[in-house]
Parts: sequence; C-alpha cells; structure tokens
Amino acid sequence: MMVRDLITVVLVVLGVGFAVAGSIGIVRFRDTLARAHALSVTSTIAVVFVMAGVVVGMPDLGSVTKAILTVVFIFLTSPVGAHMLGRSVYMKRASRLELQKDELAAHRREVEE
Amino acid sequence: MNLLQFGTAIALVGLSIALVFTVYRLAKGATLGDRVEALDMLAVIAVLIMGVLAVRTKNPVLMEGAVVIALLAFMSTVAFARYMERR
Repeated sequence: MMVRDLITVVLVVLGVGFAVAGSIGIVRFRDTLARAHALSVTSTIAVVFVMAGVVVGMPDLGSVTKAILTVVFIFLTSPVGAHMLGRSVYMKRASRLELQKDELAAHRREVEE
Repeated sequence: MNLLQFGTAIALVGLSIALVFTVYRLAKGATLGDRVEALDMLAVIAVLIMGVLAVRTKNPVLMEGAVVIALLAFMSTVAFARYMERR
C-alpha cells in the first residue's frame, strides 16, 4: 500500500509542477501566441500526469474509465482550441506579435482587403 | 498524517499558486485573447483540483466533475475564438 501511495504522490506532484510552470509562462511570456504555447503544451502534460496518479491511486473501474476519458478529451480539444484562438488573434492583429518570420503575411493582407 | 495526505496537500498548494498566477493574467489581460487563454488555464486547473481531491478523499464522484469541466472548457474556448474572429 505504501508503494502505491508513493507512486501516486510522485505522479500527482509532477503533474502539478507542470501546471505551475504553465501558469508562470502565462504571466511571464510577452505576446499572446507565446502564452498560448505555454498554456496548451503544459496543461496537456499536467492532466496526463495527474490522471495517471488517479489511475494508480484509485484502481476501480469507474475512476479509471473517467480518467482515461478526461485525458482523451484534453488531447483532442486542447490543440484545436489553441489553434482556433491563435488563428483569430493572428488574423485580427489582436495582440502585439513579436514574430521572427511571418510566412502568412501575404495571405493575411489578401484576406484583409 | 500519512504519505498520501501530505503529498496531495503539497499538490493543492501548488495548484493554488498556479491559480493566483492565472487570475493575475485574467485580471490584467491587455487583450481579449490573453483573457480567454487565462480562462482556459483556469478550467484545466479546476480539472487538476478535481483529480487531486479525488485521490485525497478516495471519492470517485469527483472524477465526473473533471470530465464535465474538460468538455465545457473546450466549448467556451471555441465560442470565444469564433466571436473574436467575427468581430
């Protein structure tokens, strides 16, 4: 029982560490697209680790099913949501963007006209 | 206090810190896109709190809340993105 508790605690604390890193990125990064990057990457990994901790800590059928369901939902929806948000910010020039290279600039001008 | 209680207490403290950072970005914003991202992060942190509390209290009912919040967060993000693009 002690080993199972230890594995659960390690997984949960690791996942929470990723969430804290993501929120620090949301505060510290400079423009909206960089913040979207910090958000979508770290939140996906954080949910995976915490739900793995739930699977180890509570191995009954209902909890394991719901944990896997949550991970699948986050994996499917987090990239799609981040992409839609990033596209609307880029196309509407809704933020100060510090881009090294802007390969879609011609397309954006075309859409704006 | 056994190991599980101690570890999940540390995890809850960490999630509170993440919550404070995210609410700071939500309040300060600068643009609408930043605020929508902060709302998305708040939903993820709510899912994580549900998971940690479910492990801590051994209460499987909390996992249903995690699934529902994960779905609603995607809906609100997509709705805000569509709104920003049409405006």
